[in-house]
Amino acid sequence: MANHALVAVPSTDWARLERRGLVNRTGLLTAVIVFLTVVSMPLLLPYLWLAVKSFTTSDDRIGHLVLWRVGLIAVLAYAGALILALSTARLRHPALLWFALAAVVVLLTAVFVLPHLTLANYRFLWHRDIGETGTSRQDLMPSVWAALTSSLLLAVAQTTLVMLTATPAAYALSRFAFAGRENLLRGLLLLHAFPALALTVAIFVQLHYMGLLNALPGVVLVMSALELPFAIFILKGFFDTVPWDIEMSALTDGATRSQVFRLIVLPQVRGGLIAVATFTFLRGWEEYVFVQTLLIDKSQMTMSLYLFYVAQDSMGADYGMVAAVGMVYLLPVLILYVFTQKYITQMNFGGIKG
Amino acid sequence: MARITLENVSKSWGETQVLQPMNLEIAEGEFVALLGPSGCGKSTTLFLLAGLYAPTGGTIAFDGHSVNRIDTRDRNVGIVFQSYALYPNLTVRQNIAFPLRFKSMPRDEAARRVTEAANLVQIGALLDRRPAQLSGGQQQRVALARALVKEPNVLLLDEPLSNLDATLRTAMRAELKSLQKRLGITTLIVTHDQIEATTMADRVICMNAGAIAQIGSPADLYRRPNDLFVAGFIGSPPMNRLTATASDRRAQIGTTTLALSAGHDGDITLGIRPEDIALVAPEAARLVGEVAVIEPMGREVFYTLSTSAGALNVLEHGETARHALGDRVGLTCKPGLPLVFDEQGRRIADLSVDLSPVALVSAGQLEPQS
Repeated sequence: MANHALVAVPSTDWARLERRGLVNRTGLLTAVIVFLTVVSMPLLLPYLWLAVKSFTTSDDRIGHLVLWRVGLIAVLAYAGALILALSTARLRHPALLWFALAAVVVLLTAVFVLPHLTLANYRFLWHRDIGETGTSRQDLMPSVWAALTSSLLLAVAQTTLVMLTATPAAYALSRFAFAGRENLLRGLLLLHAFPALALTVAIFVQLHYMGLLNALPGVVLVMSALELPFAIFILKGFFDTVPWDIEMSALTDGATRSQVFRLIVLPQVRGGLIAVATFTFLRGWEEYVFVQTLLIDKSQMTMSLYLFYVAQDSMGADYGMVAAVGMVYLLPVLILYVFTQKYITQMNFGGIKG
Repeated sequence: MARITLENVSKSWGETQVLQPMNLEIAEGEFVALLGPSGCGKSTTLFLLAGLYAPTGGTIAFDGHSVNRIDTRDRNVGIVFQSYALYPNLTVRQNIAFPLRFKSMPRDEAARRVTEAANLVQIGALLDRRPAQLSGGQQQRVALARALVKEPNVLLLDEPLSNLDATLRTAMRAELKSLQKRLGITTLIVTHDQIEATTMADRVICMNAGAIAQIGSPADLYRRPNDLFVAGFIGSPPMNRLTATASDRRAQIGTTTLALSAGHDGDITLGIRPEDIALVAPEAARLVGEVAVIEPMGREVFYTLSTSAGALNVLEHGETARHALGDRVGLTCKPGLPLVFDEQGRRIADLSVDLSPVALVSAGQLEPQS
């Protein structure tokens, strides 16, 4: 009866706990934002440098000025965006404020940065005589459009070849039981892990005897062969996720095996096909070592080689132009990523399954 | 619609024989259930009929014509998989229309049949959705419509209800049954759920370890199981088993001796369903047990009794228990029960054990002694 006073229950200080929770949450959020910001800086700065450099004259003073100003505007924009994002819930017209921030950034850029910019570095897009030295390097350097075309041709041809070969191969590996299937899968992994550079000389000699040296098709064949194991392995993982039931169902519905493959199975691995095709395309687009080795005379120069030769100048490299070429080289990749990133992020690496 | 005949059909994967040679006749328009535990070969049988597997031996015939050499796609079977196997890249309408793509059929005729099949399973309003946007029950209906739209020779259902929740399963069971009767399609359903099999099918084929254990009407399997496997598989809660030793016309069960209806020697198993046992006063029965567990289940009370022969389950009608824990009760049942199985587990048809109530000398003996 009288024992309610025996155990002194400490009254809970709810207000203190609430404050502690708040501090914990804000602390964590701050830590995460600071960490991510610091880590992204070294990743993003080169792109900023590239963009600024490509639009300024080779005068270092102006280059630095613009770089600093752009950097400051970027920091400003980032801080503004951060504040807006964190307080969206409390604002009455968040969209309006976002718009205002964008307007401020555009205005600042227009006033402080725009007057110092020039398109001169991009003259290679319409002049073949990029050194402006008369005709001396014209014979060596093809037009950038030819280089772009070569790169595109290489990447597209490689992607087509790889996809046409890897898709049925991956399907067969995923679906059919045959002798040596396990070993084939292990071999694929090994092939992918093998340092392809070690093969350069052998490939060079082989292409010479095949008469494919110094020709784009030769490079395409070599690159495709090197890309195939990876593509097959990834695609097999995608085919593995398509249930057997669905194929059996389509068979009983009256479809042939090839109709089942085309109408039912392929649409379900579309994401995987797009992701693998994107990777293969980018591998071809960025390739430097094999095009450098296997295309001896530079008439069929790809963009990677073009960039290399623009940087190779006895008078010292024109970094503005190198940056501009880099921008042109980068642009198609960015555009491609915008369209395919949603599929690439879905990509998962399925292990070897029996 | 077709009559289906299986003649010595067997299936092996390499060395493993998953299906013993099997003979089966399914009449036109009949609803047959293949019932058995997982791995007993019932799905294999289904896939053999669909042509997805080729039989190792024997002949499968539709309407008397062997279909062994007919491709899956030409057999015109409708199949509903456990996973429904809808095509995720197609809309419901395209899913249902898929089988018609491979038949030369005018476009408006195909569209009419799709609508008809969709209305039949009441999904007419969902035609433009994708399978991922449907609930499990709706997906099941789409799968059914897709199987029905081609007017199949035979409808094969592979565990179609096992992915549905309990309420929906009961509703779909009734609906499938009435649909099958209305359309008159020869239907084979594969299930491991004895309730599904007995409630829907005209005939149940009970399978065990790749062979047919018994074919019969649900009542046959329930009342006259061929062996202990069928006896144990059908019925919930399962049949009680008591091991006993028979010599001449007596059976020794624990400490109790009971009379046999005919002479028999050797070990026997007695089988009796929990609902066939009547609990009476201990003096009025030949077998006596003690109440060990009481589980009220609403409509019935489920007792576990311990007897000298082992534990026994008893299901008694009534909302509250009539007996208390530790009570001694007598167990009796109707003449003809329990069933008697021999050492190999086969039922001995004309043999029974007498568990009938004791004919008391006078009514006075039943009076409670106070």
